[in-house]
Amino acid sequence: MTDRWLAGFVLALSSIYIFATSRLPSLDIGDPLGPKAFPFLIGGLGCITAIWLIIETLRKRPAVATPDVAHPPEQHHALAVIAVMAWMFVFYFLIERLGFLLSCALFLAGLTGYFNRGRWLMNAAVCLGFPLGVYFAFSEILGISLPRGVLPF
Amino acid sequence: METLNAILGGFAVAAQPMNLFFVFLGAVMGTVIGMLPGIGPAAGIALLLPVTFGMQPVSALIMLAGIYYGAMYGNTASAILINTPGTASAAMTTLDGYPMAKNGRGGAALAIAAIASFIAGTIGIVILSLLAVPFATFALRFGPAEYFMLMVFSLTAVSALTGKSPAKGAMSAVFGLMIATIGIDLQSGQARFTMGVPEFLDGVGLLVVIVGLFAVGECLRNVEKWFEGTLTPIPIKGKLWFTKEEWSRSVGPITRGGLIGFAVGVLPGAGGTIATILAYSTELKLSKYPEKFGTGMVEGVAAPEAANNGSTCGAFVPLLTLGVPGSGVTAVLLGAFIMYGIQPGPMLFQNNPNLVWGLINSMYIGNVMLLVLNLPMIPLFAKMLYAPPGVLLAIILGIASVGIYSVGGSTISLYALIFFGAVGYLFRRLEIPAPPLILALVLGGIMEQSFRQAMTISGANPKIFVGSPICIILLVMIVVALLAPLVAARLRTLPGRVAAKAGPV
Repeated sequence: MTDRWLAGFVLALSSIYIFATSRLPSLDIGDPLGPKAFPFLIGGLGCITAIWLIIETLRKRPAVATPDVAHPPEQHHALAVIAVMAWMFVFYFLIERLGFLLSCALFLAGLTGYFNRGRWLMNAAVCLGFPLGVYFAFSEILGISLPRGVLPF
Repeated sequence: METLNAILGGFAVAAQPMNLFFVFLGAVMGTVIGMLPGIGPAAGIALLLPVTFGMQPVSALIMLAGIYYGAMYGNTASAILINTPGTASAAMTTLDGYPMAKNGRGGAALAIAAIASFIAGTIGIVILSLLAVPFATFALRFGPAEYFMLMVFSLTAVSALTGKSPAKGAMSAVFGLMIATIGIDLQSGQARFTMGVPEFLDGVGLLVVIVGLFAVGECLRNVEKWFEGTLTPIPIKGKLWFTKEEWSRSVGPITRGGLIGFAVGVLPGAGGTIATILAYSTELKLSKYPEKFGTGMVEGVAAPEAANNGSTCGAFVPLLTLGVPGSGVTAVLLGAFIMYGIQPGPMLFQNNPNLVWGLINSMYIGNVMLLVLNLPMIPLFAKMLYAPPGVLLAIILGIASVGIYSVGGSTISLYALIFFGAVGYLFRRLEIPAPPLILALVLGGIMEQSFRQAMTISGANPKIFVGSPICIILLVMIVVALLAPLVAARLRTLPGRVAAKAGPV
């Protein structure tokens, strides 16, 4: 069922892409094709793949009769994934405001605190060691300075 | 004679102390990256690319290539010790490697895998050196139409053969092409699909897409896996060596596996995973005791391990001589070449022989280093398999963020990283292969250029794409690539359990 949704999504995306291509201003200089021809091809190809996927799902129906014993249905923890993405967003939001060292330490502390619960010493070493190591490796060896933020160094 | 001089010059480049150091570094990092399930060579190379910007291009490429073939050594350990391939191309090794470890022959399995990787790798580099110049000379005859057809072929093959559904592979390629068209059209100066974001005028950064899709996407997937608990490695018992009997049983599989691997590696799309399946099933057919496969047969470790290293060398042939990669990892490598302002392809052998041959010859040295590293050190490396996944997850996300920030220099690229991470995660959930997207993204610009050049030459007559014998042969190959999944599907169902293991690359 998800595959049908996927096909619908790709069809919609390709249509929008073709529409956006048709709105591009065409300058009649240079090569005979201009900037639109290739995107039109891509958009058309996108529509074809959507139809192709629908045909695949129709043909597969009877074949998927044998349940896969080795791979039990996985549980999805979409919420945890979204939470991690949100946490990344917080890190990136703070990186120039708080500075790299603090924001990165906070980011790692959050992740290790949840996914490596209870091992305080190891987590503390990672949260301090990684940002410091990266910060100085970048500034000393590579000559790239990461955002300093509120810290004086 | 000229070629010989170039090859010798390459050795001089590869043997420079600085480059020796980078071969070593690449080999070590490749071993580690290959060993850790969840981070493959494509993501590893992408993660390290930002760090290499200040380096000499030769040194950087030598190191990045080292990561690629080093990963083919490293991926074995997790396959044998925890029954989980470090990368997809070690999936076949689990079939007999893990049973060997359970039988107390884990040390022997690791040793034979290292030797097999070394022999096949070395055979592969020799053939690569022999084939490179003839291939490149042939490719000089390619015009824009031929190049366009070649890229279509490569893209078709990768789309059709990575993953279970060719339609989804093709979708992935279409996404890649769409992203590739974002930015200013170089021939007309027209901005396209930038959605009003000024940062997109230069196009969407290749690194952001690669690191997002492979590294962040995989991390997000691992967040889910974390809830399912972790696997504990089987401790390595006994000596890290094999018996005479095990060795004599392995010689044939290693040679055959290496050659099969190389041949498959040259073809776009097929890549390491299919090479290992072919090598394994060949040994299964040739063996007097086919029923014993899956219970810890040393042949079942030697053949696929040789094949995946052979295929790595094979994959360098189209990348270096034609400038057209045939897999996700080589597409990332092509991206690296382009970032250094080097266009691989036939002209590279004439214009920059030191770089090409320095890179190729560094692989001999890299393979020796990997053998030396892997034989005594593998138990030490294997300790990393005990590293808590929560810490690894945090560190990989940290490296990804720093790398992208240091290259992009703005938080916009970081937000794009989250977006492509989410895409990568969804791709894994929906079983859409990511390599076609990367390949299409890397090739998209060149493809459009050669398409338009060809159409200009022909006065907008599309017949030019079937106008030469080379084009027609390529068209036939495109059709064959489209039909190949039917054959591959049959291949995958060959030895029962194989099908489930051979997931996307």
